[in-house]
Amino acid sequence: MNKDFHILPDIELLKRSRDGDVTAFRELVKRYESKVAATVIGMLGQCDEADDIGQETFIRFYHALKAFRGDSSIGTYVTRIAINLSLNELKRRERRRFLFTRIDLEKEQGESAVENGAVRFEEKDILRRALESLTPKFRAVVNLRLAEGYSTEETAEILQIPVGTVLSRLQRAQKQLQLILKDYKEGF
Amino acid sequence: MEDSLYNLLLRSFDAPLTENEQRRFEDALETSAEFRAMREEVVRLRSDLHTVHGSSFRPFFAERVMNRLNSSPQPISEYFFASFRSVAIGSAILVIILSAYNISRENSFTVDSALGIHHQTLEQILALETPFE
Repeated sequence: MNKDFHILPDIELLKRSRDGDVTAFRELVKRYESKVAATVIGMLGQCDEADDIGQETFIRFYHALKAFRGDSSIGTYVTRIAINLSLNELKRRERRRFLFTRIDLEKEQGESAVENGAVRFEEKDILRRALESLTPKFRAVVNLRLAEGYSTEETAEILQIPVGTVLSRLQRAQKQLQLILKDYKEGF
Repeated sequence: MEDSLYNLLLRSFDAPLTENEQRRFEDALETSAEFRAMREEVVRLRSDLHTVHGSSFRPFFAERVMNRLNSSPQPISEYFFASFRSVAIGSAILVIILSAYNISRENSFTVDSALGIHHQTLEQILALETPFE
């Protein structure tokens, strides 16, 4: 019986989950895990907090099952929860940043200097750092629209902002990324 | 860059454009250096973003969610609703039993008898007060 869950459509899994069938909900988690992972890891980076936020996303979704009316798709709905939780986590990080920035910088510089005799970053790291230096609202549009492939309208729906705002934030984010990347490349 | 043109540029990566949109897209590519530069930038950024994004959680993610779900406490609103429901049902049964008892004692089917209210006359009340004089 459980083997058949993977062929059931979302709407049936949703109905069964609402009736308390945890196996049906588990199938929904498996189905949307990668979507939530892309959002959360895109926003927070690959870290323990990302896994926690991913779990929390599905727990919130489970508790909201009865309230979920299906106005938007499950993917859009869980992504919206994931984005909101990630933005909250980034705010928490921002508050902690003051304490840890100096320690991290010293540690990183020390490690790189030992390994290479000079501070050197890979292209991938440069882009990751550039993304991390964007403000959370800019990072959210870049991740959703350019990395995860949501349409402009879907991005607007997830972030609950007008389509025009998505486009203007995206253009500004792109310009900021260009500047940051240029600085990184010239600096290192 | 104009929002609609920028959106057209982004949409060109998602799905085929309509004939009109395609014409507008090609015109912009031909005539606008800014559009061409922006397109190149978007192409580069999209490909970079795909290499940067490792998009999977640690193994057994679904199991961790289900374990947390099984061990996580009920949300406070649901807890109160669930608690209140049992209290409300118990109270309602008690009220019905008491009302039935009162009605059976009074032998009249009225609200007052169900609630066990006895109407007293002024004389009865005064008679009650006499012992204190």
